[in-house]
Amino acid sequence: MNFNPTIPIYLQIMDSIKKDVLSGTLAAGERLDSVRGLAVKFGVNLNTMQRACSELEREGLIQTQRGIGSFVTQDKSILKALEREMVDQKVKEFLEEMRSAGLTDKEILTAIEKGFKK
Amino acid sequence: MNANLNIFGLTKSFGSQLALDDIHMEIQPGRIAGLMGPNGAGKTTILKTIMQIYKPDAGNIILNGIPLNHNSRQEIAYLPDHNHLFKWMRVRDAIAYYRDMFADFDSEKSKELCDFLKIDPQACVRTLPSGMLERTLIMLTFSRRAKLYLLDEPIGGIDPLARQKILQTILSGMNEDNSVLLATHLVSEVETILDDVFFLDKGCLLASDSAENIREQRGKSIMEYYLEVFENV
Repeated sequence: MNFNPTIPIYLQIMDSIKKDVLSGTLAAGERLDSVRGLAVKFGVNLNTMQRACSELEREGLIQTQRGIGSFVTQDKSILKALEREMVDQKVKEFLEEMRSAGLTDKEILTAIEKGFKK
Repeated sequence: MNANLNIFGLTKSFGSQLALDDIHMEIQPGRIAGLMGPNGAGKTTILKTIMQIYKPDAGNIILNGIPLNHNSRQEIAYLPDHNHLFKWMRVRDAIAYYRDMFADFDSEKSKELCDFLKIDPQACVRTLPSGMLERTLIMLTFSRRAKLYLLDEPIGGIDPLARQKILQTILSGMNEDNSVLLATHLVSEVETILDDVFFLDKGCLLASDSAENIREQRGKSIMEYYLEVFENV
């Protein structure tokens, strides 16, 4: 995986795992690789991977059962909230970019409609 | 928790040339530390002093709570920046040599690493291409269950695939008890694997910080921070 070196890496790993959950690459209730395995897979050190996992656990997206492993949550409300959060964030980024390019909200809307017709 | 390695006020000169000037460092267990700086900064001198190849003029080096002594080398796996294996050896001879030399050598691990790094144990050290030689050296180093790994420029002059394999070997060799001190000037290549960084120039420690701190507090990559620190020297 290619990381942006100016953003904390654990945040980028969290994003990547969240995307995998939303796209279904990681199903609800699925077991994650061990922290050690994930660290090698992402090419980061154990501490960074541990941090990403504990933050995800704190957010409730993954649950760790001692001695068994970590699993993606099956809690629908958490998954739904995650989806909403991701959508909000992407829309916000998109709007910021368009506005910084000098487009008015109306022009942005027309551009989106045009994009759909194509 | 006790640090794996503590260095206090390490100073070393060669003749009238000051090579290390009052160096203080600490490496906690479970962490990968990068020792970075341009050529001639003193990176290799620090590693060689930890290995007791050089005798410090002043200062103390404490390994796992105990000052360096004649047993310390058994706890440190050192990868020098040049080939230290006998040219007449085959890779399997080098493995046997390491097994005889170091009590913590794990033959099973060396087999696994040979498979992973695609090393042929029958190959001759003399004829190994440089990427393969570096793979062999890293295989021998990480076949040891050492407390501290000292790696001197392990990815210099190596193709991207070999580099990636070597970095993966380092990552999978880590646990909560051991630590790595990696000397390199290839800052961007090791950016994602480092926990801590130490910047060294002309024998002086210019800065040290954790990698996440540099990204989170300063909003910079290690590379950007490196350039900032070294430009203001």
